[in-house]
Amino acid sequence: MTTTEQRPEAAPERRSRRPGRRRAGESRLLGLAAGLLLVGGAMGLQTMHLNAGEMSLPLTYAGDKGEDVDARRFTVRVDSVVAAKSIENYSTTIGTDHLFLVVNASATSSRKPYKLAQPVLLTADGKKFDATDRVDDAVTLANTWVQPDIWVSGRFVFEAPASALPGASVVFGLPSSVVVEPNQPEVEIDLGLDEEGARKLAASAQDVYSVKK
Amino acid sequence: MTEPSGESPEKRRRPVAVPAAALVAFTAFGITALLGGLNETPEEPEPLGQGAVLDQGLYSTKLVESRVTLERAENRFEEDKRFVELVFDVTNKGDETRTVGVPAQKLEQAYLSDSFAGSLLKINPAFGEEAGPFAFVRSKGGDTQQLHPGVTSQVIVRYELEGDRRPPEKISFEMASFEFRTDFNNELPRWMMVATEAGDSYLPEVKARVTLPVKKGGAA
Repeated sequence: MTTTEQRPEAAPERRSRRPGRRRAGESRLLGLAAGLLLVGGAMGLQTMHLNAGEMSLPLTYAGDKGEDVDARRFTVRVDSVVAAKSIENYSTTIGTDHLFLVVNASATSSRKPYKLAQPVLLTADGKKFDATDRVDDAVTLANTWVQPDIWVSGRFVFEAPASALPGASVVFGLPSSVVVEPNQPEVEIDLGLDEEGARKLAASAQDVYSVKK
Repeated sequence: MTEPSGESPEKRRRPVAVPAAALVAFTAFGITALLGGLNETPEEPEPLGQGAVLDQGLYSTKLVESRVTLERAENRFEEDKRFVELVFDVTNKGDETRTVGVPAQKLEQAYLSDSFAGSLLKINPAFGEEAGPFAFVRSKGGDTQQLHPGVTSQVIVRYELEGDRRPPEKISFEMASFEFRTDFNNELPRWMMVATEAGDSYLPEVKARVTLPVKKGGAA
């Protein structure tokens, strides 16, 4: 009895001691390696840290004229583009030394109602033209609630020189909110105007475009 | 003159030449330090008049004129208004549409602006607070606040003349300029007014001093 009792006592000790020592040494090495890896990883992550400027950059969903371009929160489609030399508002008629570009667009949202912000005309050489402030917001699509699963249509108006047209696209987004949210979605739609198309569009500019329906 | 013979003159001159040269160098150094070191002296702002063109970095600006204009009342409830106007042809050399803005009310806050009208400083004589200034772009059949990239627009900055107040003979002001650079807390560069630190705030660097005669008798 005594021998059989002693053996099991001693045997587990020996077994546990030796692998235990080995484990301690190994685990120290492993721990060191893991620690170094974590430190390295953390330092690596620091280099990927986005600064305030980069956080403010948008997440762009791109597409072509006539396509439904889905930016997850809202979807926009550019239906047609017309040029005009003057625009008849309700009270006044405005002229220009350049061209008025009327972009007819449709939009829908996926979950929440939104109003789109006034879009930006992005030229091939990276210039950004804001939609003109000479046409009242009320007659643009920016004035319409964009609701889930309901398509609404309207216009946006730009004033730009004809030289801005080739290769231009229109960028749609949501109005800036009080709560600053990083990487807001935007939709960039290529108007599909090459040199020839731009020249034709400019030449076909109508004398007066009326916002009255 | 009474040189001891035999000794070479060079040996004597050397101990004099070295301290002399050191003294000259030291004096030159001292004078330079006293005059403000080897930093570039700030450029004197150019005095500009009517018709001159100023490169403001972000904007290229032609000083067209200053004039008095009369705006007829549109109905019998309104009165005729007289304005002293500053007229500029402004080309936006940036990549984005910018708003015209207004001249800053306080000089200490002027450096925060990146608008064209914000670059107009110390407009003299002073007009009342009620008098303006108003700034806008004149275009066909309606005014706008927008300066589109690469486009030249006529910008009007004006003050209303109250009652019978006589318009000034001439109007003078200073103009600042802009540079495209990064901010201390933002790595993306943007257009900012060229300014130098002054106490707690920054003061815009004056690029040009302008004096324009005020033309009278114009009616708009």
